[in-house]
Amino acid sequence: MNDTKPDALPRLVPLLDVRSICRTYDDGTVRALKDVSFSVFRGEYVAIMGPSGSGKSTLLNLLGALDHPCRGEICFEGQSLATLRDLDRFRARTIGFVFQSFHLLPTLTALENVQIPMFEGTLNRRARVQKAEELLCLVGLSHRLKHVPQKLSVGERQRVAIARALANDPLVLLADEPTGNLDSRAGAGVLDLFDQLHRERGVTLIVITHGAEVAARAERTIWIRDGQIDLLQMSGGVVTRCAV
Amino acid sequence: MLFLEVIAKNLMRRKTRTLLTIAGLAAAVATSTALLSSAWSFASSSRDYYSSRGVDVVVCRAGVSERITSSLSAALAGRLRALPDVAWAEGSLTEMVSLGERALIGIPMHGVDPSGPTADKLEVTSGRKLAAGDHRAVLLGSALAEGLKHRPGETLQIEGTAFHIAGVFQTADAIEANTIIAPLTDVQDLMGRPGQVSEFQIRAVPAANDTSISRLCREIESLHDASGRSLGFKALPMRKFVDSDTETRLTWAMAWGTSVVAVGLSLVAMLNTMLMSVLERTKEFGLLRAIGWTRGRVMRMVLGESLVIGLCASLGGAAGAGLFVRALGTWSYTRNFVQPTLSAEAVVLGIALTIFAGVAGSLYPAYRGATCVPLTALHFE
Repeated sequence: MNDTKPDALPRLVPLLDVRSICRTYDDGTVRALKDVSFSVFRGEYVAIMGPSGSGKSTLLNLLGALDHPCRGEICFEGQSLATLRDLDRFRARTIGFVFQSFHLLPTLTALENVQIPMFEGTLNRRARVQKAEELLCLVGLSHRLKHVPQKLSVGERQRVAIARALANDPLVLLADEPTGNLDSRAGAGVLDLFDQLHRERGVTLIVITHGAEVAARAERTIWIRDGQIDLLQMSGGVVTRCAV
Repeated sequence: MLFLEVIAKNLMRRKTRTLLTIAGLAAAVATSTALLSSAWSFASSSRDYYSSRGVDVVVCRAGVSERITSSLSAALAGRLRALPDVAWAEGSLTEMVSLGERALIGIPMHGVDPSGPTADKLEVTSGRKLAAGDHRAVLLGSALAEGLKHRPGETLQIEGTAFHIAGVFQTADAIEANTIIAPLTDVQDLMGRPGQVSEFQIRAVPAANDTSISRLCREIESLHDASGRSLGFKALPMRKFVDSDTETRLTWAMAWGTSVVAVGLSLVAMLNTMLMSVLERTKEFGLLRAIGWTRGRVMRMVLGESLVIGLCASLGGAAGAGLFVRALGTWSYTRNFVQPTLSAEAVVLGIALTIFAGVAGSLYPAYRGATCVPLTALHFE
């Protein structure tokens, strides 16, 4: 992986290329993923849907370099994750995580939480604060900078988590059930924010969900069932059955 | 936000536990610092006692474990003075006496020649110095005089015998300031040790160096009587004499022994605190690793927390040690032996030991936090 991010790749070259990955657990008795292949291009908004136990979370963990496939490979910008020695640094620079449970640090304010990933970067203190303020303004929380998570609503906490995920200008934002713990109004607000990020900043989004209303916002939906890709659905309802 | 702020906020998350850990470590550092300081002061006091009088060599009876039980014939001073590298030699008798009126016991009383170099170098600030021919006259150290509320011209009962207080002498050393100086013959009479001294103090000629002083010591030890029998001297250069003193060594042994135990307990306390803290924050560590924090940064965070605890404990402990030593220096049972001030070396050593214990005790918790599998940690319940 290069240390500097490349300029915009041609859209035809995938940003993320998943090639026949398999993942098993318990000495092979549980096959969470079987021969999954797909690609995600820069600037795409992709939803991965499936029932519980279908392998969505396993797939998310592999895409986020939190786990390794037993077979196959995952490539970012043409480089296989298996060849990377420092996955911590890769995640810091490439992936922005948004978790269902937010996972904000409880003793830090919103402004401080957003700065946490930046410690692995090169920004000085002043620059970190400035960037964190900008990101929180972007997500509509300019008036809540000094609040700790306990003083924020669940929707606001998720917005802080989204701002944190954008801290190091990642190549891709991975969201695991981002509206799972939110009420419908807060959830809609978060989805509107994703739309805004995708539209205005060209953020590449991969959202794991089992909610149809979430998937409806995406440009493309990958359906996964029993560890395999079942069908691919484009926005507008065009459906293709089989793995891509 | 600075990295240090992350560390500070982590510590403030469990204020009570952090404060209790600091208090425990502070107690340990206060104990070791106070004991080490007392040992340092005790040793340096002995050194100062001799070096202020220009003593290069101290001679006592060979084979005694307690110098105060050493017994030599005072007449042998002449044999010592006759040695070529000796500028002067003086015998002194040290006894621990009781002061009858106040029922104080264990007060050091030094019997010296009133016209000798020891008495001459005393800085008498009120009254007069001892004079040749003085009988049952004493000089009191300033701290002792103040504690007894006695002044020159008054009478003091020592071992049931009345002595006249000729004067009060001043010294920077707190231990010496709690002693009594009297004519040698008076102390010999009082304690039933006619013609005896505890030790001889020798000043070498100005041209003497370490080599010649070592040679002088060997010469002294080889002295024998007319029948060829050894005089039984043990002669040591002043510093070696002080460092080999049984009481000094016992003081050091106690100080170090207690300090080692204190450091060990501090290490265990820190290990317990940090391990609990890391386990409680397993999910957070998983998150930090997931969003890209390196193992090194996570370790630095945990070690940084223990370092802050250690530093706070060190400062609190040093302050506590100062109060403790001051209390010991004023308490009637201990003020004769303890300087009411901390030595800088002991403070630095106490701080270093505490920080060491703190950091060492958090190495395993830091490693554990840093090497958690992010995926597993995020789902930890």
